[in-house]
Amino acid sequence: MKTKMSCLALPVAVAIAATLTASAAVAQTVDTARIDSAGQNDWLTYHGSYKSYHYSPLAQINPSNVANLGVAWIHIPGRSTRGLQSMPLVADGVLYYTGSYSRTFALNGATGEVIWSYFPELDEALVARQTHSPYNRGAAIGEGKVYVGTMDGRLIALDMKTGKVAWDTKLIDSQKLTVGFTGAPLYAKGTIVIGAQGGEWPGRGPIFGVDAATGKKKWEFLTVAGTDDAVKTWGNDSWRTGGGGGWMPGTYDSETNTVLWGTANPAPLYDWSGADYKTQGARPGDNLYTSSVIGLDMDTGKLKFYHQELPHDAWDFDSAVGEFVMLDRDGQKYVVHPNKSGYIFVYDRNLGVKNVWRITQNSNFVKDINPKTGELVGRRDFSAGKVSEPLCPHISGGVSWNSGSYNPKTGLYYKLGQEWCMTLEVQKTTPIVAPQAQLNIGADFKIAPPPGGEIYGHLDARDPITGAKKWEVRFPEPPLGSVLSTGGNLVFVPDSRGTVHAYDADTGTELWNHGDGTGHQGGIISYAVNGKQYIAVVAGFGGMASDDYAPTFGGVYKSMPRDDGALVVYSLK
Amino acid sequence: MRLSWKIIALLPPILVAPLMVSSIPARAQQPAAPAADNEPLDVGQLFATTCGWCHSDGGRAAGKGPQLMDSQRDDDFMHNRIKNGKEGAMPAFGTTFSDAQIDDIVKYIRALKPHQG
Repeated sequence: MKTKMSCLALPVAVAIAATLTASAAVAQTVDTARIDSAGQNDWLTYHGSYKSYHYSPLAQINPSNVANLGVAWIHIPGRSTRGLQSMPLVADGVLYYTGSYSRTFALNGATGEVIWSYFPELDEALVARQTHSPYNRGAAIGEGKVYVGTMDGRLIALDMKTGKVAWDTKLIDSQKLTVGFTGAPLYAKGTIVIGAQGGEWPGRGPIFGVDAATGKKKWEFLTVAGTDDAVKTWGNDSWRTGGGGGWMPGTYDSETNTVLWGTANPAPLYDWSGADYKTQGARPGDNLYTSSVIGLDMDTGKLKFYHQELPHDAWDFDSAVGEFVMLDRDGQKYVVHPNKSGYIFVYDRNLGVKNVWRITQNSNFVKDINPKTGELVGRRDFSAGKVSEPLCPHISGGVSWNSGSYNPKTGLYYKLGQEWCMTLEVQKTTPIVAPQAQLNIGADFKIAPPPGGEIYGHLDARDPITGAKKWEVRFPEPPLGSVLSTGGNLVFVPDSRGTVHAYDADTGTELWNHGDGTGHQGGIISYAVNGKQYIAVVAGFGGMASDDYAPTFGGVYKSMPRDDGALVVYSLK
Repeated sequence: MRLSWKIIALLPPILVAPLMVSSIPARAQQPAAPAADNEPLDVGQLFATTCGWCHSDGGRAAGKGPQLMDSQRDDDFMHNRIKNGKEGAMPAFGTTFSDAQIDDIVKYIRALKPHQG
């Protein structure tokens, strides 16, 4: 590990400081307690707060006036290769967000005026070799700094006021592994937690804990065979084919001092084991701790507890996607976590299974998941060759990596589901135990509609514990962005065609919409500056799921750029 | 492990550095055995592990990337696109494969036929 201090900042890196205008609120320290309490006006961490509700209590914008919502300001980050995919953050009237190539901005939340910007110098030759690149999905803030990961394996801390580099720590040898960091870090208790890409590559999917003050690595947890017990779940030393990783941020449970994080699938994605996956195929066994949710001690990174949502995942439905919604009901403390398959797992705070329900209509990779135990029932384990019945859902998942929203006022969980399938021919491949030509899929595949129907997406309003559905809104193509709900009884959905919709949170009635000019596949938040509420959404299409839209749906997607994007901020006119 | 050994042998020295910067069990760092230089590239397997992520159905259908079967692009275009990539769309494989191996990939693409039955 190498640490650079601010005086050794990269020569081409740009950090432009300006004076914060008077319209912004007085800056206060962003710390664990403040993020835990989820202040009224801010959005302090990727999932809004550690509770991960993606909810703003602000109610100035509501059903009575949402028709008057209009664009307040726009910011163009430039070089938005594969669009914009990040979640903005706001503290004390300043909006922080990232774009492709980890470009990082601090903007006046009321006007959009640039306070500072930072463009890290990246290993461009490496980035050109990468498949899942160069998008960035967000930053973390805390202790006076902004933290952002890079595609070439670094975690960088920037001064919140000036944008100057505080430290720059190399965590992964990305030249060797060809992967880096695209997911947002998490700040809590003086530590920055960030997970690497991993599912399709022969690494061991590390998750790191880094000292927020110094940039020094505190701990590292390997999601592939990270304990002696886990090694035994990879027959024939197949842990060397790797996978795992934690490419989206989890959260922090301050009551137990635990980091909750989701992990990615093992490699190869598709196995030829047939039914006897415990002893046959590319990676015999359960393959711990892939496609799992894990609880790590924040101070040491030691594993405290886990639940493997998909033992021996043979469908690329990892657990790295999905927020950890922490809520209390009838004296019980729950954590709700969506798996990429479209099954929603309900846990206690130690990740003991309390219930499992499904958001998708079209799903056949298993017949069911036991809601009491979490056990997979009637799983489909393929042999080499053409798979007769299409696999549902498609590799892009029953849910996106973007987040749903829980509204404590309505008690409903607003989550997008995706209905699509794929034809598949599984290939028996030789083990890939060292990085080579990028990925390790193990099959040829093609997107397909659900049996007897068309591809579509849907916004569901459901009870987060039972899954009982109150209402649903359908979309002709699955929306890929995050969902926001507010104390103003509104639910906002930025869709794939480029329209932002606002719905009545109780009924699902559409109350407002506005075009952003290009598709959405990132975050949406709400915040307030000087008593005025804003809605901020990133627009810009392109990447792993959205690149399928032009050949699959045609229409507006045929001309939709995949190298452009903007941050669009709305307020009442 | 024919494919992986072959490709490892072609990587520049910087790519065969230890797997992680940080410490990991020693067995994770076992070096790959080099293969003979004249060993052919198994392009079908390469599609099943890597290319097929974007070029659907093993290159026979459009997906995230274009359909390759029956492509109207000439061999030089394909060779250069594989070698140099396209920002935000196609990774560059020029440091992973030799020109001769890229030619093998182009030949494989030219021979792609629809699935029977």
